[in-house]
Amino acid sequence: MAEKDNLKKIGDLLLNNAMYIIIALAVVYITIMRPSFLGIPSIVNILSLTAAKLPIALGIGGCIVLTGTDISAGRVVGLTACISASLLTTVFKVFPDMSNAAPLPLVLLLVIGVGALVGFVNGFSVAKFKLHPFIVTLSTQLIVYGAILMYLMRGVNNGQTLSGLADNYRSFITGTLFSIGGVAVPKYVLYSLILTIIMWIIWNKTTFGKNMFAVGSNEEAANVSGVNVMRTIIMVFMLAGMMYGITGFLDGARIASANANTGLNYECDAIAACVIGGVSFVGGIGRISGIVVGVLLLQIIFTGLNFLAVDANMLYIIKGLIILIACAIDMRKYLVRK
Amino acid sequence: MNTTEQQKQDQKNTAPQRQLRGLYSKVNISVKSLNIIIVVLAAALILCMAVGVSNAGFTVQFDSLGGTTVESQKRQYGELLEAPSPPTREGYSFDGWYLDINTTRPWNLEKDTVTESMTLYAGWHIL
Repeated sequence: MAEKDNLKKIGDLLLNNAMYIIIALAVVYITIMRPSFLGIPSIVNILSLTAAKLPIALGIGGCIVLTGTDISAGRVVGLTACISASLLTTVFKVFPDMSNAAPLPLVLLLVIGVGALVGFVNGFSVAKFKLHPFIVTLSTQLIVYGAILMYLMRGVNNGQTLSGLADNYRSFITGTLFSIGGVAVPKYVLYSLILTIIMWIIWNKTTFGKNMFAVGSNEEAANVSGVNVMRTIIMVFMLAGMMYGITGFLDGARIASANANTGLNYECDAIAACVIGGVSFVGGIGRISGIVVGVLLLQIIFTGLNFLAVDANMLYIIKGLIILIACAIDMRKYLVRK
Repeated sequence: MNTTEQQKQDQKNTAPQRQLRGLYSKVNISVKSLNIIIVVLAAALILCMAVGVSNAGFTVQFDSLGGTTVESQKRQYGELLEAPSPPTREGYSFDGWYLDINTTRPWNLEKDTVTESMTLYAGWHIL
């Protein structure tokens, strides 16, 4: 009997951690094949890319806690990246009348505002009309995409990629924070860290955070116990939108250009990272540390596969399978928990 | 085993499974089937990675933008490209390969290494 219990425990452990085991095995294999994978340049690269993708995942995490999701995230990143790149540039193609780059803080506030506005539309429709977030964010995704395309047609730009960014913008984001063994760690790693701390405080130490988890696990119960459900939902989506705005601001300078495809499919990576990191579609379950781990693991596996020169087409299939497995594990964990 | 323990045991065996909620609220699946699904999907994932690794290599295509055709090359991560014989085009002189179609970011064949599948574009000067 005891032996059977032990076997069951081991089985549980293996199945609940199947994703981590596969990723660990893959990392071992990649390191054997390409030892430079564990070199400092590669590790710094993985950490920087993790930092770049963290804010959007932190935003989407809140929507998932509410048993929702947000598929407009990637396009909002694209729009805010285009806005940043068009205002903080040396060649004013979108606004031919401008001659000097706009002040950095102003543009940052502007893109955060744009993100919050889209988030408000999402959150209001979800909270007021009880629409499923999939439908609402699908439509805002398309609307925002249209806005990006029209924005890029403005002035004399004619839909082209925006580049030639202002030096102060680029150095503010991609400038060297410090160097490890001659490899520069960009400044946006620090910004990402600050955002993570802010989000941790919001999720764990504020009434709003507690309300978010209450609404996520049981909307009616939260309502009965005096939580303003509508305001909570709207604020979660707005907060997410602000995170996308910041991601767009960072991404414009990080990639050194912005076009209509900037931010495409970012939401898929972010949702996958959240689910891997234990933010459950069941609702009301999730931790900031889990999101950080999820984004990091996903980045490790994809940087590793890139090191092995695995074709990008195959990476999409792998990503899809990872999401499915993560969901299956997510459900299993919920069902076996007592 | 006394009665209460017996009852507990019975309850454990007959108790209905927890109901999933949230996005999964319509899902009706047993832990057993989930176990099978996880194992099968994990095997599929490993298989995909294995197939990906065995076909490893990034394809670099050369778009000569109206010039003579240049064959694509397959390279592993971090390798240099083999310098292709320069394409020709009537009325133009070739001035190197570029990462973008607007020929603003040049590709240095002796220094730049391949890190993804991509297309390089020919730069042309009017003669």
